[in-house]
Amino acid sequence: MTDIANVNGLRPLARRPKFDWSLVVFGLLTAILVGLVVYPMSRLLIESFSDPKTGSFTVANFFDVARRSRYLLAYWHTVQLAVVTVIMSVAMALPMAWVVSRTDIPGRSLFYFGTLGAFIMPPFLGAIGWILLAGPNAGWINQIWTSLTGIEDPLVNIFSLWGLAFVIALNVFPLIFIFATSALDLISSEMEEAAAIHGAGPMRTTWIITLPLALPAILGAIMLVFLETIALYGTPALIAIPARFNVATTQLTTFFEYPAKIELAMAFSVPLVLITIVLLGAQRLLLRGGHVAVSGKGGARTAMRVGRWKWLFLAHGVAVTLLAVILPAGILVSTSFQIAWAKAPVLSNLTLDNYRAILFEQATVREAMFNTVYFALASATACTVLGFLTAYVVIRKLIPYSSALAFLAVAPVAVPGIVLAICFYAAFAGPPFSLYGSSLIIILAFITRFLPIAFVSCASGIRSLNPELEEAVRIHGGSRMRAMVEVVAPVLKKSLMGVWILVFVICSRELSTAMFLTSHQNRVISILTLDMSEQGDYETLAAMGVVLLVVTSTVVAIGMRLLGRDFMLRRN
Amino acid sequence: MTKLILDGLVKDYGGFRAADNISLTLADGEFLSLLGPSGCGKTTTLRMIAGFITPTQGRIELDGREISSPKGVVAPENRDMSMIFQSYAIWPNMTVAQNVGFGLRMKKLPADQIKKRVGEILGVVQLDHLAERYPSELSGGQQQRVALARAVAVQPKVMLLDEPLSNLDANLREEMRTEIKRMHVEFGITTVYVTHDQSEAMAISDRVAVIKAGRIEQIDEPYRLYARPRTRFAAEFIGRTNLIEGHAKAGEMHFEGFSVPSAEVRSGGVLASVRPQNLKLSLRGNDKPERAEGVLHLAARIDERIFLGERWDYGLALEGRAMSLRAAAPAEQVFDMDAPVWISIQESRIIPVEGA
Repeated sequence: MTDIANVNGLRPLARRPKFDWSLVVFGLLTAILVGLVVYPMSRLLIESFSDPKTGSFTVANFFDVARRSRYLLAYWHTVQLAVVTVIMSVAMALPMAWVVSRTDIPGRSLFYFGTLGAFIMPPFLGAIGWILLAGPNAGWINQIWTSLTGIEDPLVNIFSLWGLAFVIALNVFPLIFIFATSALDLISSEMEEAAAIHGAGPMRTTWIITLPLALPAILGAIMLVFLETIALYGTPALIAIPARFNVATTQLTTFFEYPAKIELAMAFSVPLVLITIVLLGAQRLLLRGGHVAVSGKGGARTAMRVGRWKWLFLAHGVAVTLLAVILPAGILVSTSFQIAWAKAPVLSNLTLDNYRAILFEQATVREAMFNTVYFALASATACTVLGFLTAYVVIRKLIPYSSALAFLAVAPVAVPGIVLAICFYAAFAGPPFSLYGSSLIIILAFITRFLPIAFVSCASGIRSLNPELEEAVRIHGGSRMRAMVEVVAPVLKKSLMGVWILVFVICSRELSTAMFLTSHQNRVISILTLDMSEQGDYETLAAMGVVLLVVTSTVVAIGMRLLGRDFMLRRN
Repeated sequence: MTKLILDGLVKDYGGFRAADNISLTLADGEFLSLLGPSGCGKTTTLRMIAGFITPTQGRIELDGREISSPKGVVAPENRDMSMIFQSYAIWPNMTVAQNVGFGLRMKKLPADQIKKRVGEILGVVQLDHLAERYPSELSGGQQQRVALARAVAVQPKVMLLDEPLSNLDANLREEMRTEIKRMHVEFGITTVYVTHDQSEAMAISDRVAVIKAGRIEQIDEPYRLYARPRTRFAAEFIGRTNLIEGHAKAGEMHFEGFSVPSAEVRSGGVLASVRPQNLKLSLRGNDKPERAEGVLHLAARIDERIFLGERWDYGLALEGRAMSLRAAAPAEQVFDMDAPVWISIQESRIIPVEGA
């Protein structure tokens, strides 16, 4: 032995066995998940099946809901709306996805930015933009149409089921784009070349080989779009209510008009939850049982030459980008600098007053902007931490029945935001918690709503990590907690940051989950948008929207800088 | 003085018994290998020693203190051990020096002492110039040295190695094997080494435990394992061998056409092992071979021959019997196909492995 072996008697420094804090943390985690997920959601079942006066078991609530044709009509509108939206968004997304993934059309990488823009555009701002563009009387498209042709009848009317579907489609088509491109990216060119060598032309090959191979993924995305549409509240509230028809979500809010009938709202929501569960289950089956060729590593791909057709595809992509991003954002920016939104943006109509008003004068707007950022920061942070811890416990099976935690963490996916809001209202608004109108109730609801996203991303990160890294910590004297803090979290830094940014961005524009939980103290921008739109105060509204867009885009840009272009547009 | 005792360890996974009654005693500073094919339970055993797995039955004792039993285990971080993993498990977010110093930091050593000791250890593994690098900038061999330095730095009571060389290419593997042996000689840490590579285990260990289907088949010094295998599996797993069937009676093993005395054999069917290296060949003319005490002569023909560069591998068909044997002969000893030969075997080299 050399003298190196005896540095100051290392051995005698025998340690007292350390207390394992991780068990306390994991116990706490379980309690939090139960409190955030099981407790509020159980209210849905309990209240929908109980008599509001006596509290006894009853199915009368469901009969009450089913008897009213008004309620059934709202569901019928929702289904129509979702079908039309699906068709429109497929028509928007599929050609773009194919162009980006498989062709040599110049400028196709710009399509990514069009899609990303549509993805980060808050739905209610897109809707406001389109109200300003295509409102039946003063909408810009109709004004220009009238001045060009002299015809007084409006060319387009956004206040209709078709208009509503169109606006929603412009917001949700990125989902189909993302799923379709990632499926198409995995199809080897050899499959297409095999068809070509047997005599099929490029277009025929695309129809009979490429698209069918990507079909399961596309169908999966279609189901997501369907679900997104039936659960959406903001856009229908802005468009369907003035158009005098109700969809399920807008109908749901009527139960909260005085006197509030929570039990009917709960019963009315149950089909929404059931549809969601069924479609999500179907979607998982579909993606699991997809064609073998689409799973695993993709082979080499060569870009397809499209020839003269390329102008058509290019025009399509540009048109979608224009409609989804540039036009609505442009009209918002220009409106935000105008005194009267329906007049031309000439010099005499320009002003900075709107910005001064929202930044310095109107306390409601300032508070709403502050709240939005504050809630998004808090929720994103808590969501990332919770998602990470839960994923770690689940993947490493640290406590018995840890897979039950996984179930809890993804369960909120089955509940549309507006239904979750009702659950939280029932669970926490009244005594003993009395959280109604507080910041906490909204933050808790946001955390619950977006926990599945955080959990799934964190889980895939942790799954990719060799457990030996953590075992090495422990055998060299570090605790489980230390392994998590000093190794797992730093190694997964990038994906955790990605999760944080993603949750921050979607929290900053979440509307439906905040419904029923806000009073005048804890309003967020999305909620305020509804009020201001009702008052016709579009100029200040536009200014507020532009501020939100700038904040969101900045955060996304920072994220892209740090984490690469695709971090927002990944498939989970 | 470290003394590690494994006493009747059993690990069940559902109906599957991964480790079955593993009992071992390691002396202070001993280097013991657990050798066996994949899935034999050697890694399970190692991970029970490390405290990552709770045994279903049995106990582990370190220096007179029970550290594992079905009732509970002392957590890995409190066992005063260290480990080298198959994937190296070098933390990618820490520099080489931070990796090596981690265990010392956990022992709450003052920073200057940690720095000093990390420097010394890195010197020993010749990585001092890379102390501030991150693992991603290192080659596979360098990463393995970091893992080795990290495991040695804390001066553990027991060091565990889980197939540490399996991810290295052949040249590096030999170099690292030497390095591990050198560190063992230098620091004298009690070591348990898991491998499926018999030559690795033979080269590096004081003793080797051959494991099959969760059970220890034989535990011995490397040469004894080769020369006196006690089970068929041990005989076949350590090097190549000829297995011949016969029956035993009254202290003798009877095979087709010859008998060999054996003290240890029980009466009944017997299976014996004789290494190809113990078959000496000579050309068979008309003369009888020289008689010698304790040497067996068998007439055979060359049935197959393969030249392996350094030696010949001959397949031999025994004259008048339905038995064939393989022999390893030096490169210079050339026989044609079908050439008649005498096989000479020391009787003591015919080892009963079943029925003994």
